[in-house]
Amino acid sequence: MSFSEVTIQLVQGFGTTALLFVLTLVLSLPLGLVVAFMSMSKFTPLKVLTRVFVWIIRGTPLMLQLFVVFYVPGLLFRVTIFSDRFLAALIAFVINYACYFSVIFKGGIESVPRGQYEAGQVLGMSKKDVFFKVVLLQVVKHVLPPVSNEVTTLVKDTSLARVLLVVDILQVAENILTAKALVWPLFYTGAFYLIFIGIITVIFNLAEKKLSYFKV
Amino acid sequence: MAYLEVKGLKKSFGNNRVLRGVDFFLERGRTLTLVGASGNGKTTLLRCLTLLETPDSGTVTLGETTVNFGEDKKSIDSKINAIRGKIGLVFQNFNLFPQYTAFENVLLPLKLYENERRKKGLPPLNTSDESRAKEILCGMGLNDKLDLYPCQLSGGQQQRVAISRAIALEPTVLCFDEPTSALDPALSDEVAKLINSLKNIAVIVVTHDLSFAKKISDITLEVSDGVVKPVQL
Repeated sequence: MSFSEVTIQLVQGFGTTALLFVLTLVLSLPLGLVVAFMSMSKFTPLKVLTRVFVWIIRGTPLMLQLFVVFYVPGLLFRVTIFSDRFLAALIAFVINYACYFSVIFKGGIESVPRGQYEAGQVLGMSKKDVFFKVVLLQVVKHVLPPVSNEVTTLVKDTSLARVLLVVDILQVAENILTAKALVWPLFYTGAFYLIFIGIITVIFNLAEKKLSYFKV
Repeated sequence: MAYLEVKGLKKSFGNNRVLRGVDFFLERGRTLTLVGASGNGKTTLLRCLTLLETPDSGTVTLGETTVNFGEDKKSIDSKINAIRGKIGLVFQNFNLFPQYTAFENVLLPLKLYENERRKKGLPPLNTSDESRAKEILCGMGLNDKLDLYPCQLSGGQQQRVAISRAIALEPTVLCFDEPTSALDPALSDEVAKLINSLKNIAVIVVTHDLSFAKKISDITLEVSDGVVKPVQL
């Protein structure tokens, strides 16, 4: 099997990896913000329930959560909810990352000094305006470094989707190993991850630089 | 005639009765200073007046509007909304919005205020928001600082931006919380001049600096044991 043939197959596998990554990110970031607000709610039952849920998700392995999402609905209701393994993996990833992001967002929101909210209040701004026009950008600046960390971890975590037989780049390399007895494609996958993470790192560095004009 | 009148204002935090019945009144164009030892409730009183804290009972009358804190929450909230913006506050540490320039810090509340007026079907203010923001900042001697961010300004300049932001909405009462605490002594006189130059609004200043209070006060009240009493400086 030639280098170019392997590359083409790995690129196809990486398509699944990238799709899982992008969809997880797009869905878990806003969901994380919602979970963060729920965990700071003044309605105690909602706050406690959310915090317990986040604790469970952060306290158990992602691999276990993948199994739970895929198998438990079938075991409980005797129906296959997720015939699409990719969808099951996506849901598990979104829930897991939304919980991690929620903790980061909560920290970011709480790190904005109370005086910023009060200044908006005294100036007659609505709560919505205070959040979107005053607080949000400061929160973004606070959370960028930890979010960048989580996002890099997500790229690598996508390989866990293989436990549900989602054919990602590593699975493709493993298939080549089994079928053609070629081990190098397995190591070659590292280059794909490195380049992808390199691009993400550059994007986050640019974003941090863009927000460096003010101090919080 | 009293423009701002406070009657029987009480505020507790748990078992700690900070304000035990505060009464005073203030006319437009006059400056009231609140002095007293730390922890005696000066800042709490200021926070109650600016409605950052809701008093437990008592009334605050501003012009024609009276907020009776003994009434139900809905009624209090609607009256608070009516007078919010008419009572400005310059915070001790200014609380400028760090992501905005000096100009934008003044412009943002003006724009939002204008949007609110539009929603209510009220006519726009005479001058554009941009020219008004610029005019106020230039009036404070910040002509060449308009495009600088708060972190690029000195303490005194930040304070002038904070004052500009507070007066942009044309409040009828302007409060200052410890205006000289974050400044070096040389700037105190400058702040006193600035406060004395504010015309046609009632000014309330919380300070522990008696010599500063002397420079700006028409009336001085000492906050002690949760009540206020007049003092001569």
